[in-house]
Amino acid sequence: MIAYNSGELDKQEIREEVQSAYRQGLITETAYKDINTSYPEYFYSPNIFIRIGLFILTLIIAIFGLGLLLLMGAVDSERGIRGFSVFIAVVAYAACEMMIHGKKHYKSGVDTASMWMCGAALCTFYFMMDLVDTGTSLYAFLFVVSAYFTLRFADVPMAIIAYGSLMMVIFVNLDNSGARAFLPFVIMLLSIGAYFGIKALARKTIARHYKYCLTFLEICALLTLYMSMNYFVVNELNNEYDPAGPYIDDSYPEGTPVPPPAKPLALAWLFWTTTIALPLLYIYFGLRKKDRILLGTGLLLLAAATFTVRYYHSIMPLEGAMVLAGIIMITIAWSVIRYLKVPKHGFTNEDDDEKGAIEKLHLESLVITQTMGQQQQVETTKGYGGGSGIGGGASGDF
Amino acid sequence: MNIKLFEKLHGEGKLSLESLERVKTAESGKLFSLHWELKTLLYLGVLLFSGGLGTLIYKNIDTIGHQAILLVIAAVSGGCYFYCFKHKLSFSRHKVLPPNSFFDYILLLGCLTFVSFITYLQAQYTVFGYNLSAATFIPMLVLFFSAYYFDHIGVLSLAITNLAAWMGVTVTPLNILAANDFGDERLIFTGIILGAILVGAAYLSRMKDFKKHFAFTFSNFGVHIMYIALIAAQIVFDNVIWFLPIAALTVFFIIQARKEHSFYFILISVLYSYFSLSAAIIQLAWHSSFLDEGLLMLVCIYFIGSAIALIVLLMREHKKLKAHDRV
Repeated sequence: MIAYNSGELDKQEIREEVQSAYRQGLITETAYKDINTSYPEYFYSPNIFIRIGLFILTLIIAIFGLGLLLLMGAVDSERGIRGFSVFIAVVAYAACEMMIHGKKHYKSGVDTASMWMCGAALCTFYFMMDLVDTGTSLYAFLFVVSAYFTLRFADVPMAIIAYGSLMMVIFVNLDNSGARAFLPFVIMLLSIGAYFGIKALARKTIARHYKYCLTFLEICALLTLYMSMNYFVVNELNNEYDPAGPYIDDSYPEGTPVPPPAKPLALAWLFWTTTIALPLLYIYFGLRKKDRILLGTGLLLLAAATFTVRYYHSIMPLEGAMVLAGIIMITIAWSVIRYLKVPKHGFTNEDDDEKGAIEKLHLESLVITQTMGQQQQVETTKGYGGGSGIGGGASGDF
Repeated sequence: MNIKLFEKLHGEGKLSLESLERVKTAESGKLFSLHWELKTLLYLGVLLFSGGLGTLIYKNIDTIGHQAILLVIAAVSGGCYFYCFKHKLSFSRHKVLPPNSFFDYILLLGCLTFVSFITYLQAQYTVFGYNLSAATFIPMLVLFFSAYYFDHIGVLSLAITNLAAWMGVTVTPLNILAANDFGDERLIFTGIILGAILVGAAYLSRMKDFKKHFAFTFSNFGVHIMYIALIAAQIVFDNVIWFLPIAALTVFFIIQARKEHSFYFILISVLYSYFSLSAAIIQLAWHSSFLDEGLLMLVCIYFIGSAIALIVLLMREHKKLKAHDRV
C-alpha cells in the first residue's frame, strides 16, 4: 500500500528511537554506534530546510516545464486541456514513484512536490470535465484522490483534505435532505466515531507508518466534533437556511423584499452548554489521560468558546475583557508553575528533552517581535499624531 | 519511546540488558511536561494584559488624567525592572539561564511598558523636543541593554526592531514587505546599511565570543533585510549590475553557514540569490530587442535547468553538512 519500503521505514524508526535514547544518555555510545551500523541509513530524507528548498525548486521545474510545453503549442482546444492534464498527472505521478523507488527519496520535498503536482493536474482535469454539479461530486472526487495519496505516501496535508472532503460529502448530502435538523447530531456522532476509530487504528501495527497522519486526523475529528456542537456554527447554518426556498445569500437586487428571518434555533440551551463544556471536557480528559492532543485542542477551543460567547453577548468592553483574561491566564500559569515546582501526579514544568530543528530557530522571539513589536509601533506612530512620520519606513497603515 | 523496539534490539544482542532496563525505567517514570502549554498561557496572558491596558488607558484618557496614567505605567515598568534586578543571576558573556520561569516574562512586560512610557511622555509633553529620533533612540538603548544584561533573546529582537524603526525601516517578520516602500531610494540604502550592521554584529558576537547565542538573531534579521534591500535595488533601479554584490554576499554567507553547519542560512541565501539571478535573466530578456516566443522558451529552459542544478547543489551541501546536523 505505502510507496516507501516498509521494512526500511521500520529500520528508520529504530534509528530515531535509538538516537533519542542516546541523547538522553540511556544507552552507551558503543551500542548506539553499533546499532547505527547494523541499521544503515537507506532513505534520502534531508533536514527540513533542505526539504523546503527542494520542494520549491521541484515546483519551479514543474511550472516552467508546463510553460515550455504550452509555448510549444501542446494545447489547442478545451478537449486538449483535458488530455494534457491527464498527461501531466501521469508524468508527475511517475516522477514521484521513480524518485521514491529509484532514488530512495522519503519526503525529501521532491516526491512531495511531484505528488501535489499530480493532484493539481487531476483537479484541473475534473474542472474541465464540466460535470453537472451535484454539490457532492467535487468533494467525492477530492476524497478519492486525497485518500489514495494518503495511503500511498502517508502525507499529512492529504490526510486532512481526505477527512475534510469526506465530512463535506456527508454534510452537503444531509444539508439538502429532509434530515437537516439532525445535521449537528449526525456530524457529532460521526466525529466521535472517527475519533475513537482513529485512536484504535493508531495502536495497530498495520498503521505504524501513518503515525503523523493519524495524529492530525485525531485533531480534525476533535475539531469537527466541536464545530458540530458550537452555537455560532449551528446558529449561522440555521440562519442561512430559508424554509421557503433555496439558500439565502446576501446578493439581493434592490427592491426585493427581504425574506423572513429564519426560525430561531431550537435547542439553543443545548448548543450553548456544549459550546462551553466541550473544551473544558477536552482539557479535563487531556490532563487525566495525559493526552497532549486533547489538552492542546481543548485549550485552543477554549478561545473559540470565548469568542462565541463574546459574539452574542458583549458583557464588557473588549479592553476590559483583555485585561481580565490576561490577569486570569497569568494567574493560572503562575499558580500551576509554582505548584509543579516539584513534579506532582506525573506532571512537570520541565522542558522535554526532545528538541526539533524548528525550535532552534528561536521561534518564540520571532513571535514576540511580530505581536508585541507591532503593538509597540502602533503606539509610537500614534504618539506622533500621524504627523510627519519617522522616515520612509513607517508609512502609517497600522 | 517504543519499548518493543528496544526489546527487539536486546533480543538481537545489540543492546545490553542494563541499557534496556534503563530505557524501561525512563519510559515508565516519564513525566508529562506542561512546559509549552504553560509558557504559551503565560505569554498570551502578558500579551492580552499589556494590550488591553494600553487600549484602556487610551480610551479613558480624559477621565484619568495624564499624570496618573504615566504614574501607573512607570510603576508597572519600574516594578518589573526592580524584580529583574533583584532576581537576576550575575552577568556573564556567555548564555545565562533565567533564574525562574517567570523572569523572562516579567522582563518582557517591563520592557514593553518602558517603551510605552517614553512614547507617552513624548506624545504628551514632547520631552525630547521635536527631535523625533531621540524618542526611539532611548528605548532602543534600554532594550539593547536589557537584552544583554538579562540575557533575553526576545527583548533583543524587540531592540533590533527598534533600531530598524529608528533608522526608518519596519522589520516585523510578516510586515517587512507590506509596510516598507521599497520604491524609495533612501529606504533601500538604509536597508542595506542596517543589514550590514546586523550581519556585522552577528559576526562580532561569534568572533569575540560575546553572547554568542545572540548571533543567530542578529544574522537572521540582517541577512533577510540585506537581501531584500539589494533585490529591491536591482528591480527598482532596473539594473542587472546589482546581482554582483548579491552574488558576493551569497558566497560570504555560504562560507559562514558552512562553518556554522546551518542549513537554514544556506537555504535562504541560495533562494534569495536564485531569485535575484532569475530576475536578472528576465530583465535581460525584457530589454533585449528580440523578445519573442523563442526567447521565452529559452527562459523556461533556463528555469528548468537552473532549478535542477540547484537541487543537485542543495543535495550536495546537505551531504557535506549532514555529519553535524544543526539548524
